[in-house]
Amino acid sequence: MKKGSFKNWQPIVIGLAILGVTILAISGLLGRIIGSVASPLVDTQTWVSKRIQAFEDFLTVPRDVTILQQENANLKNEISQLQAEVLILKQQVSETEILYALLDFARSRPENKYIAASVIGRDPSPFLNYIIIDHGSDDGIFKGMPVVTQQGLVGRVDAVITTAARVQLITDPNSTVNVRLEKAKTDAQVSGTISGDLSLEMINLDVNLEQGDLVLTSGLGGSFPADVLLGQVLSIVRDNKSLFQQATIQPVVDFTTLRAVLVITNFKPVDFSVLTDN
Amino acid sequence: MSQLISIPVLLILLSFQIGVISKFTILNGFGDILIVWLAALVIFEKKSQSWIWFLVSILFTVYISGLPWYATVIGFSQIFILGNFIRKRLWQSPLLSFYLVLTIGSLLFYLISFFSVLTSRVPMIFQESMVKIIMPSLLINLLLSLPVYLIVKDMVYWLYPQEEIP
Repeated sequence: MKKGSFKNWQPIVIGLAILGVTILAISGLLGRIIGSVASPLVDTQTWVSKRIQAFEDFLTVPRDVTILQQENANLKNEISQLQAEVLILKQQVSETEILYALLDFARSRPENKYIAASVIGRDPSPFLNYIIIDHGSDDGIFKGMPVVTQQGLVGRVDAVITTAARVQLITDPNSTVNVRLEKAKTDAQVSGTISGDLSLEMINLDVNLEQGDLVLTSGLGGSFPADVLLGQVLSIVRDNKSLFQQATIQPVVDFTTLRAVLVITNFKPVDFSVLTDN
Repeated sequence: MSQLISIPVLLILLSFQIGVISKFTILNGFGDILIVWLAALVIFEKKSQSWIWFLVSILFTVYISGLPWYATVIGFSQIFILGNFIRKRLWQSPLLSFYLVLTIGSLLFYLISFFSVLTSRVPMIFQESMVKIIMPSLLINLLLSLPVYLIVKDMVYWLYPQEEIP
């Protein structure tokens, strides 16, 4: 009878215990109890975990240094490559700016046909003011063609091979250009000198020459197209005992930093050799 | 066969001359690395085969430069003759020989260039050319001389190892 009564009460006790735990959980009291029980366990686990982590770090740090050193070397390498790329891009931007300027000049004179060429060298002799460009007869360049930049006249093609050409600068001592003065409204000649300056000659004494007067090609002689700028009158030498007055020209083109030029390909210079030979 | 190396070496030198050296000027003069190179070569080259180097230099320079061809031929030839003349008499001091050949040879080369340009109906004043072109160019050649001398010395030793280089 007693055994049977306990067995009857057992599910009720278990049910009441579950109910009690549920009520404690709902009321929030169970969390405190569990927390107070679990806290020492968590602390212990934390302590153990930190020690294990420290030990693991001790074992793996040297390997990390090697990896970091490798990464550092890779990054340095990447920086050098990027710096090299930046330099190349800067150079390209500079070249593009020059080409855009030349293009603007070409667009402003649509009657002419141009070939853009890079300056690749200068004549090996210091007595001559010649430059060498990277386009030749294969590109349609021939002897006598005028060479300009967006600023003004550079010279004319003196010799050509298939892939390159030699250009005689207007500053060469053997170069003579027929010009006109814009304000003075007179014709004259501009010659190169051994010092690389431009000398304005053959101006009558009665012409009122002024500093800053623009000097443009006159087109006379048929060697250069008309109205291409050369420079400005810088200083005037006037001697009443001489037949002509002289002047120094400040060229608009900086011949020392010349990097790209335009060759006018549809201009045919007049060949006077037949007349002079006779 | 070893003389064949003159073609690529002189091409590199000429490229260096027209692309780099001609940009470094004092007044209106600039150096000529070919003159310096050949002046050093004629001192060290004892097999009397340096004429091939001179010949190749003349061909390349005549092809590229606007200077009258005879000026280049005479200019380089006189360095060759002068170099051989001085080497035979001052063989015990090659550095002195080199500087003599370089100074006199360069000066003569520039004078020949000057007169060749002058005969092409180009108005040039001798004194102005001397001050603005010839003397500055000579000075730059002398500045280039020592490194070029050492390079040529090593090159000749490498090309002709049986020869004693002082």
